Amino acid sequence: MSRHRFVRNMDIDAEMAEDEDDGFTMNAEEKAQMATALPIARQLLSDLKPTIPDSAIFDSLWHYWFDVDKAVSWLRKDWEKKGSPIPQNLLPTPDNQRRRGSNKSPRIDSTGTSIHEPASGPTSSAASSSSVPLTALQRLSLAREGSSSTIPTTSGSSTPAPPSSALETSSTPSKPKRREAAAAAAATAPSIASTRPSIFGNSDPGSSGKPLSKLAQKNLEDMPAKDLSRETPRPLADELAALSIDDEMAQLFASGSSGPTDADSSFFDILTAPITKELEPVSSVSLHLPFDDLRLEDRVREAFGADVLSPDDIVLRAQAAAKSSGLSTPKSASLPGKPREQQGVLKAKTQPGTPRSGKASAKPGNSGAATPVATAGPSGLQHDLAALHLEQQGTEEDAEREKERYKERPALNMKQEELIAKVIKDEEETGKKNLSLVVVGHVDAGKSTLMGRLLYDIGELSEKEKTANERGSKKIGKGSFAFAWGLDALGDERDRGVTIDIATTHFDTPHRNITLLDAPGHRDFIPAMISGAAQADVALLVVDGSPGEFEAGFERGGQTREHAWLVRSLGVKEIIVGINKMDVVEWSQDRYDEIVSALKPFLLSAGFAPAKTVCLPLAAMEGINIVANDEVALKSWYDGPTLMDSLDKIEVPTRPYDSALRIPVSNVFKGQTAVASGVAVTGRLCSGVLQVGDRLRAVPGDEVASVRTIEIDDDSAPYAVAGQNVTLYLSGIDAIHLAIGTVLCPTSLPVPMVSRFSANILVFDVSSPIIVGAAVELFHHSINVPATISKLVSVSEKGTVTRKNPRVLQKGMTALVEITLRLTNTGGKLPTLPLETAAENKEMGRVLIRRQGETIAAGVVQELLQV
Amino acid sequence: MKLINKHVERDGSGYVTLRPEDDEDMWHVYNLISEGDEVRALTMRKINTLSSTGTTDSYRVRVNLTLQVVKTTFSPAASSSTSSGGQEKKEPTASLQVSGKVIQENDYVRMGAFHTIDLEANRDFRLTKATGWDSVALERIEESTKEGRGAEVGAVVCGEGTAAICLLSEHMTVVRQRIDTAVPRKRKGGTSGHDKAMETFFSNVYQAVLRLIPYQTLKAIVIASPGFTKESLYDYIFHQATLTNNKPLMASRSKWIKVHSNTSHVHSLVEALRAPEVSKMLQGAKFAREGLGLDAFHKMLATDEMRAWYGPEHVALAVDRGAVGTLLISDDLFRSSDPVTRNRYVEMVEAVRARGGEALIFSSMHESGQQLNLLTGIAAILTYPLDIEIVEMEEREEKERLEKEANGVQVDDDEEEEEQQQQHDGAPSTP
Repeated sequence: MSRHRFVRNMDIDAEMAEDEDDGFTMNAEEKAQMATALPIARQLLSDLKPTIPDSAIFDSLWHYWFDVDKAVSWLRKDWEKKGSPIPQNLLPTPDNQRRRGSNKSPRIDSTGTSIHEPASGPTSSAASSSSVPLTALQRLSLAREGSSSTIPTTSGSSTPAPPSSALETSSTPSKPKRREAAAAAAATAPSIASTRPSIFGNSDPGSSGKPLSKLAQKNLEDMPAKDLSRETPRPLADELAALSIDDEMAQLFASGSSGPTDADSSFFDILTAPITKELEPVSSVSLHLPFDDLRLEDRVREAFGADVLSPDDIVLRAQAAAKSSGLSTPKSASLPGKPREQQGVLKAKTQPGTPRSGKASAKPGNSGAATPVATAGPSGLQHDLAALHLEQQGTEEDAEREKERYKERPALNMKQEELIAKVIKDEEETGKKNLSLVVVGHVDAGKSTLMGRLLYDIGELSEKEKTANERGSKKIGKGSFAFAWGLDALGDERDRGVTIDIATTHFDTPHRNITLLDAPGHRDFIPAMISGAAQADVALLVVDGSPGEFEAGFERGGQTREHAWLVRSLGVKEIIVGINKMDVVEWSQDRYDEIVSALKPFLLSAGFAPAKTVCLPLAAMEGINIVANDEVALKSWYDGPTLMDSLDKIEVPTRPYDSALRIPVSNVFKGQTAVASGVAVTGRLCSGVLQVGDRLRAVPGDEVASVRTIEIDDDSAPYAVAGQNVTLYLSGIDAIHLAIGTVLCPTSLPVPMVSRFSANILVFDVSSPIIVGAAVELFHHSINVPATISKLVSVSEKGTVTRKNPRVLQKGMTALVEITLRLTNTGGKLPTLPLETAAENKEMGRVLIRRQGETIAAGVVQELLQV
Repeated sequence: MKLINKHVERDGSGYVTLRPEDDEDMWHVYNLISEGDEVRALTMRKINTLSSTGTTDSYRVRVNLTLQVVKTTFSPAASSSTSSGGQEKKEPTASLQVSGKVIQENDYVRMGAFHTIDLEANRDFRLTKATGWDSVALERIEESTKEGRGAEVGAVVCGEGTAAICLLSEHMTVVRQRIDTAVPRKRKGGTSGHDKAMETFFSNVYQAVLRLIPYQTLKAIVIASPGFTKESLYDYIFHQATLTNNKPLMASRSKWIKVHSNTSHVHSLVEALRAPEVSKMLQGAKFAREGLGLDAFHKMLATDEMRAWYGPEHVALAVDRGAVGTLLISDDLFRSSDPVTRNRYVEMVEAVRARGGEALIFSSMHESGQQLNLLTGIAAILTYPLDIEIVEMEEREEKERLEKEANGVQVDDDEEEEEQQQQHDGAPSTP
């Protein structure tokens, strides 16, 4: 690079401003941090004899920027080198290797002085000359490193800056700044990744190269110093949180050797989490709570074997005592950091000396003086904001920031757990739980009308819209469809007075946040109904109370039964039965009882517990017993709950927050508004958690998209959790790679694609028995594909196999069958479907089997088979 | 197809000269030629010569070659090189390649050299069956050479955003085009995306219909879909026809039939063709009979399991007992490369017909045939109920008795023995 350009790229202002901060001084804040960290470190080191002098601990703490773990582990190593090594049996085996790696390190051992030189290569001399602590830039780079190691394909150029979510920032960064930062990210991420081995692996030839110019070095050192002074008001915990555990772990695994952990470090505990996870592949994303002592200990034991009382236990106990003071302390004890080494890396990184990297290094100083910066990497924005720390914040905000930091790293437990904790807390605070309700029932039972009325009564549907609908529907002579038009928006739906596709909307009850899915009742549109029911927790079965109509819907060929079966086999456990049009029969109690007595046994047989079944007399058109019951004729014999009351009391199932993220896409469209533009998908999170900036893989396909905006119930949200229906605006992907039926999942844990699988099926009331080779349609969430029952393996009754290789399957049988997808055209490869076993993910393992317009069976996937 | 020359002896030996004319004929030919047969046809052969000076020369000659067939490949809708022009009438797009060893030497090609003949429409070829001409093969020739045979029907199976344009002939369903348009579903705040996408979708289908469906010559054109898509598409097509003043299309209006189907997949074509309004128009069409036969089988399975059997072994047992009223068999089974297997099925068909039963040979190029293929390819509706397990038990007992006989145990009745043997062996009774 030309010298002129380098100079030009430097931020003169920043350089001028930062000079005075250089040097070894401690301000009040740092002293306070030291005061907190020192006793912890001392405690951690108390088992060593001869004891390490406080001054040494002090120095190393300063050196590691109050990262107790790092400091302690360094001191241990140091102490070990001087003699009396830690007994081998206390060290886990993988650690031995790491330790050996570290022993070879060319660190200058100066008995606890403040000058350590862990970084190698010719550039290190520059770093050693001053003891500048961890700076914002370094943290940024650490964060980058984390993101670049966890997300394999971070490239700043491809992803535009993610919009800031409500949680992560209070001030929106300006556009050009973002772009700059994106460039910075692009420059930093790969270069750090390449030099990473040098941090731990100690001898990295790659990090050597053309030494930096004096000017550049000075520039580098100066700016961090300035940042440091800016960020000092930050509490310790916050500070340390910036050096994320996840990043650290990622580094560790990436570098392969080198442990910052001698056995006693509690950091190791965190490390054991992924290790044990690898040992037991079943729980691929087990939720790990690092601050839960019991579980930690368990994990440690698991890792070491139950008998060994590892040094970690001792440490843990010591920590437990210290922990009582609050969250921040134990965190500080357990959170590692590598401030010093980072600096070396930073220098190595700037060596290529492109104008861009010059800019990148100049960036923090620059932005530090101005505004917070959003960056390209999904996690970049939060890091930057936090690291730069411009505004004066209350502790509350700090705590929030801390959470964000955990959330922002994809595919690792920490953020998920924090997010989950937050969601649970939020739910507790507001007392509102999310719930999806699907409205099902025979065609013309009044589902859409009932829902339209409900929305109108609670004010979700405005008076204006209502009058418009009334006028419109009267015009075409369908006045009775006025309320239904609130949900039936398609031209065909309005013209024909039949719901064709699922309508999704939402409303609130005092204790529930309900996503409403209004399903079509007509038999031709059962695929749409299945798509809706697959997204629901609870069902509202609407039956027509008028004479003859209930019977018509309930008989064979009516949809009442089929819908009830369908929602039950899609995992809905609770059902509300709305007996509609009771005004037609003048609120006759006899009629009500008659219908209830017909329905109850059926619902029981379909698998709905009586306690989970509520029957309500309703009149949708009149709006009676929906929000309030003010009909005298009804009051005389009915004093049960209204529809709203019942909805408010529905039990919310526990959500699989901790499983891998799965979003079966139910709709793909292009956002048209300014805020919500671009490729958008809707769907429900079957499991897992998601937040803005996450990168998702679209299966089938090999495309990766990042989440630009999350929209829940028409409001943008920073995150979404299992059970919520969301609209995601994606970037970095073309709509062509997305289709209804695509499953979005984490890049690290994609859904398998199969074309043959075995499933346990329950045969419904079929008109003709199922035989081998039956041509069926397989329904899975929002898609249906032609398939065939390729093998009847066995029939079982109450869990025991009663017959192998049956010739036919009659109604009511439970059987294990093999299902193969059918070729759609002659020759070529079998089609595939994203599917998981029910054991792995309940919602992804449910299938429905239909034949000739009749649902013949529901099944759960047992095993994915090779073709 | 034209039968140019037929010289078949009573014992089944002999040859037949045929001239295929269209896609369906190719399918017939594909079903006729089996491994080991001799095919003689005009073909192009590339000849490489090496001169005395070492230079090589290569040229192509047209020669008549006789092959002993090793492999045949059939692709129903390969775009033939000659089909680029917009000629009238259906032009063959199916291709059939026959490869094998040359068994008659000529000036250019040595004996035993391999060659692949691309059988072409309107070009004669001579076929000699290695195993002799059996009744099923002869029937097929007869069927395929009948004048004015069968109905030709166009079909559009569609749903919201998906459509398959199919052409059905007596023995083939060819999916000419699949159309997949991403249609956003309805959502709160505007359905413009949906409406726009549907408009695009309909226009795509309309274009495809114009291109691929010869609506002037077809007997009927079926639009099948669940829901209201069929009405919308029908309206769209004739609206467009009116706008563009497409007189022939408007004149064909009476041929278009809207039929309900349960899914938008091609396999619901079977149900669509069963619909009364279609079957009325296609009276006697083979594929309509096939669909009805399969439906009858499924119905029988539902009502009386003992009268609906499937699977080669089981059906063979039922045939032996003379119980088969209707035999449903896929032509896939006759394409078996093993002559013994093929023979077994041929004899089954003959046995059923001999007893006055009906034997429907399903074309596996039809959806109904494919469904039958999934169902092992053979099924039977019995005239009287037979319990499969009892029959199997009987068979086992007989087998044991036969084994005893083989071990030299005294046999009571000679006649009975022969019968048993016949039953046991399934088809070929050795005299």
